[in-house]
Amino acid sequence: MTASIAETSWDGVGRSYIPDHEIRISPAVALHRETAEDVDPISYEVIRHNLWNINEEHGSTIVKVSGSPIAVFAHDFNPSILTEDGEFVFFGPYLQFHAGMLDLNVKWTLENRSEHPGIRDGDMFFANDPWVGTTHQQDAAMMCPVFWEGRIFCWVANLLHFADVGGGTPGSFCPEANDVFEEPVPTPPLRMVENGEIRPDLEAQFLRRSRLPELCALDLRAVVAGNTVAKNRILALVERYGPGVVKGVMRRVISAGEERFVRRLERLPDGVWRDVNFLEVAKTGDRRAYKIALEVRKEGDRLIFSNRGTDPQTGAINITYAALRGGIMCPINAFFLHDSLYAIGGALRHIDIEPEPGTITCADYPAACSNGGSTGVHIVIGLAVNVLAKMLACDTKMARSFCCQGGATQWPGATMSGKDRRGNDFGAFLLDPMAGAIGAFSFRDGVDVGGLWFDAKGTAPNVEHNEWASPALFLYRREKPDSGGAGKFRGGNSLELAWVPHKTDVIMQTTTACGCAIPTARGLFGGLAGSPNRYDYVEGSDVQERLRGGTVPQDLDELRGRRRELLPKETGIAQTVHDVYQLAISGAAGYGDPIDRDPEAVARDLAAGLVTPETARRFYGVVVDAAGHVDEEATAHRREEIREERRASAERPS
Amino acid sequence: MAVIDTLSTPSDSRFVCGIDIGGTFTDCAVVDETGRMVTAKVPSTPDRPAEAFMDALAASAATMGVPLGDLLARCDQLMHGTTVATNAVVQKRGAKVGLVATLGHGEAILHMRGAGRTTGVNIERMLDIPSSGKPEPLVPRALIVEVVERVDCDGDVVVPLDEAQAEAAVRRLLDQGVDAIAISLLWAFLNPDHEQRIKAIIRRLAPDVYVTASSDIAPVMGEYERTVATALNSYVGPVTRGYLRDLSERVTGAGYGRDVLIVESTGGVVPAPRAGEEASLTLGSGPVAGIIGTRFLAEALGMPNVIAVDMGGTSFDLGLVRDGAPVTSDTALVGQYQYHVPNVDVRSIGAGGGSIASVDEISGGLLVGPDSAGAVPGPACYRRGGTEATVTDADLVLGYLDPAFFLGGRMALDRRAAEEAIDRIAEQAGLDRTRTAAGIVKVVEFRMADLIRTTTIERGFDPREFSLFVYGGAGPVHGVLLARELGIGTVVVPMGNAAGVWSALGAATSHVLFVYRQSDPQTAPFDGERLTRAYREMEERGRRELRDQGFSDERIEITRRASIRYRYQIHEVEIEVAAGDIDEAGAQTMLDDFERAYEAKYGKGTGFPAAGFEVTSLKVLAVGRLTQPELAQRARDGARPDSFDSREIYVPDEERFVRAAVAHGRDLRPGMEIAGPAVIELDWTTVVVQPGSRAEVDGLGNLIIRLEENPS
Repeated sequence: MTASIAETSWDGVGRSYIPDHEIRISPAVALHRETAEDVDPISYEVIRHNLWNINEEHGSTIVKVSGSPIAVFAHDFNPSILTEDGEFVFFGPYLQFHAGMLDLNVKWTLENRSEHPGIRDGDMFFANDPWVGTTHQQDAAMMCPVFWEGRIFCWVANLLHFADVGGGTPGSFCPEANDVFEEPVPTPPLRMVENGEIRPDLEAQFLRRSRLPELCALDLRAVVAGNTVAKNRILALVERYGPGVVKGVMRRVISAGEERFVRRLERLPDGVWRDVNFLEVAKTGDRRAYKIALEVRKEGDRLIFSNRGTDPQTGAINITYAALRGGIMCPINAFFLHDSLYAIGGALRHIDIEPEPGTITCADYPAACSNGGSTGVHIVIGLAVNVLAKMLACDTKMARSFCCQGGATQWPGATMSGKDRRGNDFGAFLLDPMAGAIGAFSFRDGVDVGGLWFDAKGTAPNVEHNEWASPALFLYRREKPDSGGAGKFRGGNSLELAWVPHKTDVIMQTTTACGCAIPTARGLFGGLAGSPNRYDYVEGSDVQERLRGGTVPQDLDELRGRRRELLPKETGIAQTVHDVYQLAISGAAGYGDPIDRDPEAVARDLAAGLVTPETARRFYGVVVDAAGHVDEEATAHRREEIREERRASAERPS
Repeated sequence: MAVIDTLSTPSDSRFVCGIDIGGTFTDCAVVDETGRMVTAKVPSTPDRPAEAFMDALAASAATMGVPLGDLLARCDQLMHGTTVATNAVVQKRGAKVGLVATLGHGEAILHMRGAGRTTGVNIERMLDIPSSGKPEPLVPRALIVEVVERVDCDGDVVVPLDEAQAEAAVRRLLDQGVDAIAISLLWAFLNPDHEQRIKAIIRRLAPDVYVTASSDIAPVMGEYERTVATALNSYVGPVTRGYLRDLSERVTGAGYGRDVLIVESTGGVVPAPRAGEEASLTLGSGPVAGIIGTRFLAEALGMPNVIAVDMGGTSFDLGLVRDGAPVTSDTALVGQYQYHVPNVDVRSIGAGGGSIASVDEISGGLLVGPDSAGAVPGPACYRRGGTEATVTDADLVLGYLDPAFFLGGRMALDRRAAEEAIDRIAEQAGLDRTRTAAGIVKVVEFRMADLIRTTTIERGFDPREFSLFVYGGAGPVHGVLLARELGIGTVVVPMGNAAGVWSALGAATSHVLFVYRQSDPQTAPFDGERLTRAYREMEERGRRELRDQGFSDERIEITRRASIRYRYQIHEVEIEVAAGDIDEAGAQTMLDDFERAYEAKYGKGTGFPAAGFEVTSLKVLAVGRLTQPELAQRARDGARPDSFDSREIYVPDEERFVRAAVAHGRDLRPGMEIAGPAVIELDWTTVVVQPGSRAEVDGLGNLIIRLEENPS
């Protein structure tokens, strides 16, 4: 990965770090570069499978040792194997946008730490600096050089979301921050582990920032243990097959991924594809929207991305270069490299990013970045999906490889705290958006409540888990009709859920989201957007009377009380047992013109309650009779009417 | 051999009998009091499985030279592993199930916690988003009804059940012609009252409809997995119950005077009428019976830790015995559905003799699987229409299989066809035929070794502390090399020819096991009285129900278990809890045991005591001990034939063919030793003894193979 505008200022200090083609490494560190070119097909497959498995064991070790819901349910981490100079071999099927970052951290470390304090066998380097390479300060990298005979043979590394690394708000998402000084402290790579042992002095100063020091200490051990397992297994491979052979396999994994990527690019025409979307509410109290732009230019076997046109950095919604790149990598992997098991290193040789600095998606120091993991990176993923899908649609075969953007397209954060039903302190972060939704394909519908496509192994909690962990009673959790974008192929529906405090007086609520006013799963080729996030709230309702009266309210409209929407970055909400909180999670996007949808499919969705009669008529132009059968004549008529309306409102392109 | 083809038994001898119905064959093993055994194998009758059951019994009786009625009258225990439920799931021929759920929460089974696309699918498919999706719903949306009621996480009623509304909802299901109903309400495992009242309504309205309540079948936290367990039970319930009733009538008619005992996924057996009500627990009972048999034999051999591998044509099943007990789990998968069920944990990957080899066009790597030729069209050498090179074709080319003596000569293999298939791969790979075949075998062996490694390590076990048992048609060919890869010192091919009816023998070595669960989450400090009360309640039920089955108190064994975790943590670890009243010290012992077990599983320093502790569920295992067959040891005379046949087999270490002794099952005598390179042809499989390893026939007829490089 390079930037054609490689200037000294892209050093990870004032501006995000972007390495040159050739990184500058002090001669104090020796790299193992010998490669066997003639690895036979059998050894290749055996060692390739072993490397993949080593990386999986790295991931499962993190899950095992950590045991936190973030690692176990949300899988908010990713392990990887990189070559001696920081090129990706494999990374895991966990949270995908971490992909764009570990190589940056390794390269920065090689460039800046090999002379002093030096990089030695038994060391591991820790970093959570967005300008070097993380989504936000909660995501911390732990990098471990693997030495063979005194030279760096390769690296194993991981990124994990830590539950709290300080800052003004519990959980470290700081919606009120003006700059990074009001947020968790970012740490450029430092040698946290020496001779395989965590340095107590450095650990202590890291834990001192956190509201949850024990949990962070455990997570620190989890990432060290993951690296250690991976390192030892790689060394066993080297011992058995020889360093040249193992390195030969690594190089071929990369070049095979590269070849697959290039062959797929070859099917596509050169051109430029663009998309624009908006983030809203830069920080608590703000009410404006901000433009985020992304384009991809294809020139032969290269893709050049740029965020030019994106608004200047502002408030608390920024990300740095690493997260911009990580967001772009998600659909690159999913759409181009699934059969290479996401071996992205080779593809990256053909991808340039030309970022516009000082913008929301490539912010300079000291912009506030702590919300980047739930806002900026997600908006980039959605834009990257759309620009790549438009390009892929130029070839009939490749058109089958993408899905429209899924939900949740902007994570609707709902953070709760207070006293639980036994009077103890509790804190919880609602993980239900993990239930997600998959966007429509060019040849079939998306998947209702189908998970997050860029975090394949993630899982949402059961309602019983939520009620056990927090003093809340969930009135319902159900698919929201029409939440999936309409289209010839419909986007997946997502969930809506509502709760009241139960056996406690009050729950303190904080929201952190974008995508509430402006949909962030934009449809393609005539398909409509997935529904936005929505926080509804009824204050002073009669919900308790209703429960006592033997009913469980299923619709906010049934309730008395003052109805309002919560703002996307609101703090200090005191929810009493009379206040009902309803969260609708953003849905997935549709593909193709809704009036081209098979009317029978619309009728089926209607019967199942997945779309409403209003939407069927208004967007799909489908009319059904009382028995639910398609009225063909009325449907044809209504669809013609829609075409008329469109012709009437159409303007000549400028 | 321990397998005695004609059992001349005293006329008053008693028997224990196990029957396992597989897809192709139905197997029977009859063991008498002296430990002698008769086996029979008859074709399965998939549409009427009870027929093959009776055929297998009749075949055994004929071999023994006694009338069937005599055999059954003298049979103390007739134990059975059934695939009726499994087949209903695989063929999607289960009942039309309606679901009754809590208002506002009926869709949990459709949401699948957002993980329905990815659960239980291999990584290749998981990453390929356009070609993957959720499975067909177990219960279609139209057959889900919600009832007005609500219980909270303390089991307190927030909104009472509206019986009139519930009855109307049930009628809506009945009107749609459901033949089974599942009831799964939020927190019903803490307060089953609403579920039980709905069950009564259904019984009153439609006595013939099969009903399952979640508080009966899976009383543990987590509504998605509990609802799947409940719906699944209703899905396989009617067909399983119908089959077991038919079977019971037939054996009773033929002279058997007790309940047939059915193998369940828990690792024990229960009387057929009970199995009919908890039909989902019979899912996977075949593989589980194999592990029970393994445990039994491992005990006889003094091997506490065993990795059991069953490799057939299409799948590779893996189970573990640790410290003399099968390793269990509290969740299982059926397709892409995860559900709560206590089960002997058997993992499966799609790698078997039928796995197809290919060459990746871009990397040039040699791939094996995930596609499989299965039994039909099968490997190229079967000549049943398959033309692609498979592991079995490679085994044949390498001399591991004898084309004239496959499955004891029951099926001829075409070596030429195998060679042609391998040659096509060889050309693409740029290798010669032999290296290609050897490569296919190596790649598949490494995949299996990886699965074994992952499965043992993730539980905190070291595979080097285990012995490896290999069974299934394709397993013993690869056992020695697998063991070597894993650092395992001993490979056991169990019981010679009896291994061909291994699951039937496993069934015959089971005990009755009733599992009781209660999920009553609480945080430390634990309320000892509440725990004691819960345990006592389950224990009394267990004792009562076992006594009802005729077990005397000295044959009843009760064990308590508890699942505990650190607060804010996800991993639960199950520990054993001492009998008696739980006081403060007892509660502390539970925590200490938990912390020790947690560190053993997840590693030193991984505990998080600062967060506090939660006990999530309690379990009581009530075992009714049955007579175990005692296998007859035969004297080790060490007699060997004057000479062995021989043929060339490929030795990967030497990268060449080497002449190897070929022994046949009929030649094996206890005490006989055969050093590798050698091949041992059994009726149901072929054992390859690589150089550097040594096979010995023990007094029970097992082949024990020891590896020189991994002395155990």
